[in-house]
Amino acid sequence: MIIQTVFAIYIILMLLIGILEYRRSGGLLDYYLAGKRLSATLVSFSFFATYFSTSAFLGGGGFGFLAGFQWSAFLTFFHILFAIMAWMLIAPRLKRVADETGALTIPEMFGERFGREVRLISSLVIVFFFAFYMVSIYKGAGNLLQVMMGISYREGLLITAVIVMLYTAIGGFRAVVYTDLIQGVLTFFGGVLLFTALVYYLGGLQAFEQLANTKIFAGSGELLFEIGKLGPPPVMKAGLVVPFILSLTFAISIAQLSSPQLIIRFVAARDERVIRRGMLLTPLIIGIFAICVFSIGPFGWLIIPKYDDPIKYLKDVDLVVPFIAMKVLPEGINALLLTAIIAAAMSTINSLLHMMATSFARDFLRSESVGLTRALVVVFAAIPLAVAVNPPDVIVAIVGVSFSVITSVFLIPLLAMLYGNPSKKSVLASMIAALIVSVAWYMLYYRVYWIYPVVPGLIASATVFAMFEKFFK
Amino acid sequence: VRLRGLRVRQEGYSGCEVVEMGAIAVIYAVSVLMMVAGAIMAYRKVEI
Repeated sequence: MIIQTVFAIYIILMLLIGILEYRRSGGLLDYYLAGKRLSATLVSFSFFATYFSTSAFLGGGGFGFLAGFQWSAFLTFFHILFAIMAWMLIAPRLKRVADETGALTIPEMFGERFGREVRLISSLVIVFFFAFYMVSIYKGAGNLLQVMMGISYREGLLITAVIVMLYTAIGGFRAVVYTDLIQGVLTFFGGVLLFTALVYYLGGLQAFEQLANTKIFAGSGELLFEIGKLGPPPVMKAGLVVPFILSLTFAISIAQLSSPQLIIRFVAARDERVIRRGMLLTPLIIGIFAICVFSIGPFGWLIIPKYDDPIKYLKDVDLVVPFIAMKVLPEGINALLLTAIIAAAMSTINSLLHMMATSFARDFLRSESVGLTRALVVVFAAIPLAVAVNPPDVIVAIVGVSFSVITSVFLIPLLAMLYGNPSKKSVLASMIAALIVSVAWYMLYYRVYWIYPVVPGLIASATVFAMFEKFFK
Repeated sequence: VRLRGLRVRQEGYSGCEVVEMGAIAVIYAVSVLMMVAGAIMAYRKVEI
């Protein structure tokens, strides 16, 4: 009952923000970029909340149960590295370019520098691959609400989609960032609280000593601290745990540099002083959250075997963090944490939805109508929802690669735009190369070499870009 | 590698394993240092 009450209060709050921001919104610039008047706190927490979805808790936190502390350590390292790089190398220059060109979307910015074809491809990549990315987040939220509230998976999906769609459609980017602030604060403190409660529950620092002595996998006897030993069974069998862990943690973290739904927040900042303050605040929030949440999984070995069969949790690592939360937190508090995990999903979905609708309306349809953009929010919320009810195998495969495609398609053109004067041909060729190579790698080679598709996608994109700059400029 | 027959046991660890634990600790330490260094650099920019 407590869980349902906390969740109901949270939903009402989100809808109220949507209605309030609808009244304050006054046109295209407001609906697209909150009037470019965001403070450092709003930009920072919105960046944080958009980046971390449910999978940060369930996958990021839970996967350490299977892969040990090597997973937690590398994921933390790359998150902090790329958060600092995003705010120091991308944010100030992107804000300047956006203000100079007057662009309202990332594809429009590319279009101003590299022409209509690059703008169209960027817009289509966003709409197509974000839709698949949304399917995976919808699924996570639907599953969690099913467990939390005792409702069906379909009802969980529907609640998530309708709430996010309503406040995003009516309140635009203002509603997105203000709800992000609340969701981000909930997510951040939920993660830190869970880790603190866990260490306290296990008796403080002696938990680390206990873990150091814990051996799992009876047949092979690896320790939780051994690098290159623990991973999903097919990866262990292939002897490729290190490339798998390194490429996956790298792929997840580098998305901070070029994902359009994240970097558009730099454009919406009030001025460059806000960017400098965000540079201080955001890496700290991301770093502290990463250290806490990504380290939770391995500690599951000191709790789960006492109550349940660990094999169930090795087969589905998403169950690890909710189980630990239920054990180490009192009931009222764990209701807040579960709401924080749902909030993490909603804050990512609203940003993807807003980005898809604004990009399709402005960059593809060349429309300046806020009404049409609102209608597109509804359409783009409904399509992935319909797919998430029962996704066919081919969709599941594309969902797996969507995150990689988005990062690898946009990173090289973005760096080129901010730090050079590249030709239109080079940028176009690098985007197409990234798209083809990351999808092909995922379909043909990923399960052979266990290197995540972002890595070959970025290598192909950079190589083709350099070749075109050298020989075809 | 099979998950069946899994068991959790606790026992002493060898010197080799201490090196592994040390390596993980170093990655964590570098991450924290990087975060602090980034914050100091950003703080200087805010002051400017």
